[in-house]
Amino acid sequence: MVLLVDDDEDLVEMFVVLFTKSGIPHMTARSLAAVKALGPRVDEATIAFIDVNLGPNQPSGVAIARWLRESAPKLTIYFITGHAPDHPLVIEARGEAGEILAKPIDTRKLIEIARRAV
Amino acid sequence: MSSSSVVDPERRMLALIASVIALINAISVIFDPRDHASLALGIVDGGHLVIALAVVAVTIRSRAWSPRIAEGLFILVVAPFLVGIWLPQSFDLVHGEMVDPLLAHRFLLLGIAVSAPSWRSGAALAAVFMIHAIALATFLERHTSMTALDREPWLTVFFALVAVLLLYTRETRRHLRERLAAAEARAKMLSQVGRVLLALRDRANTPLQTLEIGIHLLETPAEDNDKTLALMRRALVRLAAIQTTLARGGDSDAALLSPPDLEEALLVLRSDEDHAS
Repeated sequence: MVLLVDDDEDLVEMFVVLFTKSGIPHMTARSLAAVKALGPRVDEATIAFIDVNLGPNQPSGVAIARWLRESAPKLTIYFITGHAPDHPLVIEARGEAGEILAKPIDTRKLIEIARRAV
Repeated sequence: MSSSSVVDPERRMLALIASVIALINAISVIFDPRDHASLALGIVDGGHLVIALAVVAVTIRSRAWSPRIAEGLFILVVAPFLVGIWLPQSFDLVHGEMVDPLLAHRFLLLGIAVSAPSWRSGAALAAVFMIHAIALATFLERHTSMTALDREPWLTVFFALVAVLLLYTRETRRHLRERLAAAEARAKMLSQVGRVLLALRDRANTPLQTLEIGIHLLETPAEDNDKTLALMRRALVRLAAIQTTLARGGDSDAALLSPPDLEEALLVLRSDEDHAS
């Protein structure tokens, strides 16, 4: 199952439409609190697409990745970001295991990555 | 000009120098026997005391302030010395008690050098008091012969030159400070421009991602594309809001937005997006 974490409501909805039409099982969250609220379902995820910047006054995607690593060590993590490569959050994300995908990402590539993992 | 046009340290310096001048004159009025013996000298020193106190009050309390006002007040508080240091020497000449008649000039020239609010006012006053010293020395030499006058007016002229040199170095440092402050302000502004551009990049890339997925979905045959189209339309509105904000910056007279404009640009972006959604 794919776990998608992004604070942008429209993008999350679009991902939901995409994954649904592509037959890819998925769950979504828009913050660390929402990820934690998923509870044991998080363990079902085999791949996660996590936005690096989840808005002001919110834990970053890197914080979510660290939390997920503890609860699901085998989870494959992809960071997605619209920021420049030298943005502090992107640099921090680079230090974590997991590939960084720059928005806008080619949709076919996204589906291919997701299908491979699920 | 606003009160912020003169930096506070310069205002404090003027208040300090006027206070010192007030104190010198108060001491003269109270303790100097010459002020008690000569009505003219007493009036001049008393008047100078009042002027100095008024300058202190204006410097501390005035809301209207500019470099020109600072120069005017400085000249106002220093100029009475033209009379205030001539009369005592005339008095001493009559009573035969002269020791070093141009000593006050030399102290005054150094005082001007370290406290003048501008190069212009300082150099002008230094020149005036140098001419004043030459005139006083010439006057005294005509009426008396004392060893202290043998080296005058050249010693005092030398002090005047040192004073001008000090003024020049102060002015050079002030220019450098101003250039440094301007460079720092520009660096801060450029840093904020960079921050906003990076924020715009992130804010533009998210709706672009929405459009990217939306186009992919539309390319795939499906029964209902209404939701995809609605999301794409909202993404387009958000990109248009970013474009409008950038256009506002491009229309301004300045090549780059000023820091408050940049902050406003980000607020406008967020506000436009709220409306769009």
